[in-house]
Amino acid sequence: MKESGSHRWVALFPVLALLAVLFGGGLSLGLLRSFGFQPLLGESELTLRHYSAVLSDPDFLPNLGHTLLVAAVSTTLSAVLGLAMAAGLLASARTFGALRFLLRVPVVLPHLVAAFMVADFLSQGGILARLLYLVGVLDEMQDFPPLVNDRHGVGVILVYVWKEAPFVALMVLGVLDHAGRRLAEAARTLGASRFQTWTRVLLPLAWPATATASLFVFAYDFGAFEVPYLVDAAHPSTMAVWAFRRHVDADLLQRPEGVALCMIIAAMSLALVYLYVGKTNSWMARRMVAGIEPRLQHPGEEPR
Amino acid sequence: MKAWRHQGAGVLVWMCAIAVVLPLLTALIASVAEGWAWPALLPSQLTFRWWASDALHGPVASALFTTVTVALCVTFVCALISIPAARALALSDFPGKHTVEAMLLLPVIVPPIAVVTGMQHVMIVLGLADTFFGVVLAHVVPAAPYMLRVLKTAYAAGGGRLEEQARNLGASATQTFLRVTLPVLAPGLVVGGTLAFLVSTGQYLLTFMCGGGRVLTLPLLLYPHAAAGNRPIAAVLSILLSVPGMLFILAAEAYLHRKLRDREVYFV
Amino acid sequence: MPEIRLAGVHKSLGGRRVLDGLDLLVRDGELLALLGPSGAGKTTMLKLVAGLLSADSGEVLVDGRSVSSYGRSPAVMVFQDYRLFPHMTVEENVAFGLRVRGQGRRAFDAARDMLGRLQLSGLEGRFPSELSGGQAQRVALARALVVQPEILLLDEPFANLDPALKEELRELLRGMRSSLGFTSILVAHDQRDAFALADRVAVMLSGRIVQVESPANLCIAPAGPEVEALVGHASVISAVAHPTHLDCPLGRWPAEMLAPQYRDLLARATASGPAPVRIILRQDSICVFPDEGGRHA
Repeated sequence: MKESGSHRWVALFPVLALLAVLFGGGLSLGLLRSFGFQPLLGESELTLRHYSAVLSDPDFLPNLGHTLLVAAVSTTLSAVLGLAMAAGLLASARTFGALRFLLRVPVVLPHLVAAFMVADFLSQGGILARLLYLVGVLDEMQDFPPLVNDRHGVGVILVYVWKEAPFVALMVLGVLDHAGRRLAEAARTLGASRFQTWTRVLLPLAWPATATASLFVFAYDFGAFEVPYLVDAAHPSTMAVWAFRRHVDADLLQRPEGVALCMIIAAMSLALVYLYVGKTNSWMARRMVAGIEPRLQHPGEEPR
Repeated sequence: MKAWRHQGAGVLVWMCAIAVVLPLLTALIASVAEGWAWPALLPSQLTFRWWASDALHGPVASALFTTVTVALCVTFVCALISIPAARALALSDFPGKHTVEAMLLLPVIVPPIAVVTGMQHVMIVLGLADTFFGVVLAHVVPAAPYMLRVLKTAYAAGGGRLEEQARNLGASATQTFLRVTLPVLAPGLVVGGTLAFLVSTGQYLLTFMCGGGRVLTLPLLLYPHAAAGNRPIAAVLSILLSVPGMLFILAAEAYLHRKLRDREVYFV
Repeated sequence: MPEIRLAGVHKSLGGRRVLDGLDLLVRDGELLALLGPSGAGKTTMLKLVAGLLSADSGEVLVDGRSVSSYGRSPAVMVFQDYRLFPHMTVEENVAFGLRVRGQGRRAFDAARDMLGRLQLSGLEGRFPSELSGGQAQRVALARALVVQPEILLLDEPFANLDPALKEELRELLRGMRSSLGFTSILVAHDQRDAFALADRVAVMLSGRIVQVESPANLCIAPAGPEVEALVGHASVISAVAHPTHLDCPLGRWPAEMLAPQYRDLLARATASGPAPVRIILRQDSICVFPDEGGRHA
């Protein structure tokens, strides 16, 4: 499209302005504050002491470890279960139209709602415990392990998986449902067995979708606040909740440290995403699923 | 010889179905349960008093109203600012485009906790803190990238070429926009709008910090009850919070189904 | 080589009757072209033979056995939309069929050889997203041919190719047929492709086969106006063939006027002296078939 340069900047201005002011401004202010720049308190020299205070805090490593563990386990479980669900839906004889619709419910429910529902379901007096009691696996309420608010974050992980495995499944189905079916047909007519079709064609096809979905899931799980705030134990807590408590609950002197912690969280998330994207972008681009539809070719058109 | 089907797959699918449904069902029953103590699988009595007492009066009703109106405004503002931006990104190439696109993705990657205190500060300076409009703008920040992405895809899929054709046939810029662009974008707007609406209804941290307790949305009410373990009330609030989003989605899907009959469209 | 038989086949898709009592016999080693308007059910029939769909009623037999009794697909199919595996290189795509049959060792050599024959050398390392339409189509063909199938199903394999390339591929297909002798069904939109390659042509209308004939007889005696509309109007004149020319009421035509496949025919027909022939003048081409009481050579 031939348009004058200024046109497109005018078009982009509202979005960029809003994000720059609120998001960029917020991030910058946080950054400045984390370096000790609080003019209202008479501090205008940049310093690293807040960062060192955070890094040397005895809670830092346990909380970081806890956060990474929760995020990694959730992501892995979501990826595996999501992939299995998608494969199951594709491979089953029935259409399961209702379930496909149902799969979207966990994805669209607000995180707090999901957290409450799943946590309640898994609590010691919850329905799962009662079902196990009914079947005779439990003798009394206390026998059911406290999954919610426990030190290992099991409750948080299960909430995340409940919400995110369907997300992964839907992403994978997006690829497998259309391209996957056609390519599976081609593989079958070329002589592949069912097993070979799955391992050589369908699963490799599902992999990029799974990987991308998993990246989003991990990035979210790492820095999320709402779910662990409700469901997680106090010690160790996830980084986001720890930062929140330091900011809101702590006294003024501790606040810059809270902000420094936030900056660390942000930096880690960014590093993670850009590392992944940088490494896989070209790898994935060449293997785009596009090679299936015959394109309407103009005479003399160059290959893509 | 079935191409890739297998008998056992159905079992796995059923198990997942149950795992998804049970918590939902539990909450639904809890909202109308009278005294649902251990170890009963079903409540001894059903009652609507949780709904009657809370839902129709007081802070809950106004919180619901606030939540929905905020979400609707967020959707509207997102659409307003995203349509021209998506167009620029989809149709033109310019130096710095990749940087801009990367920056527009930041709100999705950077966790809200990192930005929220600074954002609160900025809003105080701008006089937007603790205001309805301020909360709306705060919600637009995480919602806009999603709508932008959807619209950009919609545009790239042919909007540009159609506009070119319309102009070529003699339509003015405004006519092109109203008669060609908007209708072509409509499915994308519906999908993106649904995403924006959902992002907004689910917000807790942003509303808490930027609304300062003056702008009360349902998530803010839900949290204390959920944390305290007030199952029936929390269940009622959960359902109330979920309903607007679900209605929006159902409407969106009905619309999309009519428009794009042959293609399967799940906005997620 | 196996023969394919469909008897009384009915198939509905999405509530619509696609195949309505279809009967067809494809003799072993023959190439049968399937002609018909879009939506007549040609692709569906191919899928039934490949075992990707099962008939609602009726029988689909390959080599006397029902298709559903085969563990692996009895037929190799080349699809209209290529269906190249996007996560594999061109080479890996072409080698796929051999590798899944446990012939991994010779798979890549055979693949490279076939790619060379289709003038795709140099593209081995590319991914399908990096190919043009014509290249992708040839890779799909290579992938099927390298397996040396007993049955080959081709769904509009020449759609995206320019005429020169089409001719070369037709030659290649003819060559492979004579050396390997597979049974094949070809769905072609352009009847010229069908007529050039086919032993017999089957015309499909509204889900059933309405005529199966040699290309010549189809031109001469189409079974009804719809078939004629598909096949194109033709006129027939008698002539005498000599090794170097044809004598007909329109004058003396040198043999060079004929397309390559008809020159071979001419040589064989006139091996023992001049022979009577019929010339079929179609709307868009001229074909020559020997006049031997309707039997084609």
